[in-house]
Amino acid sequence: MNPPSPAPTYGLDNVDEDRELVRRMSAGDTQALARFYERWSRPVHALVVQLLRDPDDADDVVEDAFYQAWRQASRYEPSRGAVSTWIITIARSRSLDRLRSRRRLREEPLTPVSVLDEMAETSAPDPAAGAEEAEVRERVALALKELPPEQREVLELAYFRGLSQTEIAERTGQPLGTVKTRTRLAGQKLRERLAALRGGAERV
Amino acid sequence: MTREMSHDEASELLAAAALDALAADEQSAVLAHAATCATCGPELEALRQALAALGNSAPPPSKPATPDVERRLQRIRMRLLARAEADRAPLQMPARRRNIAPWLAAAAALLIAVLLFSQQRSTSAALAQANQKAVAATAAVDTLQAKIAQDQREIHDLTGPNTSVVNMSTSGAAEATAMMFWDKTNNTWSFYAHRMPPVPAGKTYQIWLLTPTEKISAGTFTPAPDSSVEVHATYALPHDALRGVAVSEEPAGGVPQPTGRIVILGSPGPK
Repeated sequence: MNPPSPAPTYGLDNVDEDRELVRRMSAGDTQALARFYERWSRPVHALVVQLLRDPDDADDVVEDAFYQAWRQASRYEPSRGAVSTWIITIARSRSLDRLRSRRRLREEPLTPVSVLDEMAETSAPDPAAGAEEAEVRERVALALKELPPEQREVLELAYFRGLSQTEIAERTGQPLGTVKTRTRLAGQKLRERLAALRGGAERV
Repeated sequence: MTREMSHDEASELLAAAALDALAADEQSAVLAHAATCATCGPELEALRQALAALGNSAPPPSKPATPDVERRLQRIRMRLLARAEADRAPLQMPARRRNIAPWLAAAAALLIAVLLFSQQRSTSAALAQANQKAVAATAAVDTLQAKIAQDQREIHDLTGPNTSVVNMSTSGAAEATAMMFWDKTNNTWSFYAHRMPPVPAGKTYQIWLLTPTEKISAGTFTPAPDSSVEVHATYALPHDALRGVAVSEEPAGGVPQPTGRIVILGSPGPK
């Protein structure tokens, strides 16, 4: 059964709808969970697949991430950021757990892919994404284009490969101090550029 | 114990902390500082939001292909909602729910009609309130309809002509009883257990489909407060491939292959 589309019913924009869904989830409303999953499962799944590179592992982690959101909905604090930040952070955190336990089990080679380069070059909108999602994606692409390649590399290895700064230094052969500086600059620049491009919109 | 970190040292490491790219002791020292620092706290949150935008913009993977992704998302949705429903089950699913659900649905529909009628005569404040109630009642009807549809699917899955039953015996969980139903027509798996002991802290139970060549995870679960378990999964398996079903105790979040002790084991019947 398709979940109802509450946006017109409630007359709320997406940010408010997300918060309302999380509030209803914290009260045990599974319809709200179904709608929340409908809204966020695609970007969450895309991220988890990029992180894990294994569709079956990704399925388990996506399920666990949304289940965690369901169980911990009452802990969500709107003052600490948008719902999108919350669910994406949960999904990445569960993915890193899986990635790191997998690495402990077997020394896994890093596949030579560059997600960030692909994202920076992405200009074609994803047909499944809404207008707001498309805008965020475009802002991210613009911000990434402005990062020097070496900063993009540390961001890629830390964010999408789950490597620590020490592991990045080992893998790239760069001194740890250099990796630390690049990480700091990359984070700072990404944040500043996104804030400037967002121009005051509430959601990142 | 978390070591203390100076403001200068912590502020240099905020991006790395937001990326979770520090050693555990460093990570907790930065977080502890940020929790009390009026500059670093908001800066850390801003960095996390910027990084979440990065995660939110991850390109759709080239593999698996889009139709496969949609199928997978539907499967995950079914498993997720079954788990969420199982959480609510002891409170909201009385034994006679199959009989009373249609009446509740009819009552909710009547309530909507009354509310809609009353709306026409209300002031704008009362109208808003009634509207809110109507939305809640509509959600209640949707929930009940979903339950009825789910019940019908479950009955079909459990009693269909092409359904195999796996009776399972227990080793670690001596009191527990468990059965797995495999509807080969729809590739659906329904696992039911009673008197399952609570899972130890930091652990989860994980179900495995055993074939001659592999052990396939059919999901993780923790028993409901009344020690009952209901797990549904969809997985296509060649009809002669199943040698057994097992439940093992694993680290929270589950593992790709079984590592912990087997608490329940069963093999398929002759059907």
